[in-house]
Amino acid sequence: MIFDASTGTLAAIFAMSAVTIFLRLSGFFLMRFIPMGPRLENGFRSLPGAVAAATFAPLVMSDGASAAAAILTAIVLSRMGRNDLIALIAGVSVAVVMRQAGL
Amino acid sequence: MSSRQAGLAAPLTMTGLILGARMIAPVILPVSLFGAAVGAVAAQKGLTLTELNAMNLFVYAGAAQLVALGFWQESWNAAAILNIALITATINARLFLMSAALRPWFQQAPSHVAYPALLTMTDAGYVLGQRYYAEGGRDMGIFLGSGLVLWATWMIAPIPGFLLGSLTRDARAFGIDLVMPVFFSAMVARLWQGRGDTIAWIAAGLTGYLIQRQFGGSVHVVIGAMVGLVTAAMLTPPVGASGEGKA
Repeated sequence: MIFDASTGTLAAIFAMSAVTIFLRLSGFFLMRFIPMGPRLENGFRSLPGAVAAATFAPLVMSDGASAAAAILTAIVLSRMGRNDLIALIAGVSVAVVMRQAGL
Repeated sequence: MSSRQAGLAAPLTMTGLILGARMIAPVILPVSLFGAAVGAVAAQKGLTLTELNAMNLFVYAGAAQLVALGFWQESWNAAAILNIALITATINARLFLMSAALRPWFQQAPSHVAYPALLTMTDAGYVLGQRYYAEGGRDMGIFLGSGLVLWATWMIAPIPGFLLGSLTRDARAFGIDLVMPVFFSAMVARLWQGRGDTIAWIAAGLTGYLIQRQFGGSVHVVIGAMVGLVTAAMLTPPVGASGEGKA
């Protein structure tokens, strides 16, 4: 039944949960002991973009033009001050049209 | 702009909770689509609805769940559980960096607020929070409110995907695979503050690409992110010489 739950599967889920909770809390805790200078603060400020770039660069390189065009469209619209949802819809639309056209 | 109250530099207000919930609203659609994909994959892998719900509630990390489901087992022994924990750790290692990055803001709040708020942290909530902080905001309610709304979304959205099962079949033609990359790129684009960020992000992307091509898997995320972090730190303008961004 879909409402059942096996012990093994739950153990795997709780292992995933424990690891994730540890990561969510430990960074903040450990920074108690490391002084936050302007350099470190600037590095952390820049981190979201670095995570995005590192995550999506392989996708863009393997997927080619449509993924790159979609992301570029969204970045440009976002920098122009459009809201994120509009940037999302426009970006994905560009990719869908390109893919339909076989690009 | 920051709301300073009763000596607490980072308060937790009801206004902030509601505002945070409203600020995260544009994220609900993309997260729901991603959640539907996770639900569909879970169904294909033979999870029950209870197991899926437990995972969404206790793990609450979309990318890690999606990848871990790719390695899902029929039966579990200690080695298989350790393996799934390690996979989860590599994909979620970025949460450690984000958690550390929130120190300057969250240390202004009491621990019994800061730690529960961190439990609700996701990529989207983190970016939203950092943007708010960069604009001078300090209300913990923004972070907690947006986090709780996303958590609720993450509990609900995978269920229709699970019940329909085959939702992901034509994902690529409809651009579903690009929803999170495009949305996330739009969100972080506004955090850009100059040449240092440009160089740091190119370094991060290049490292991510090369590491992924060389080793596969998902270690490229945290290694690329570290390279970006260090690059931005090294390119920090000397104090007082910078006219851009926050002081």
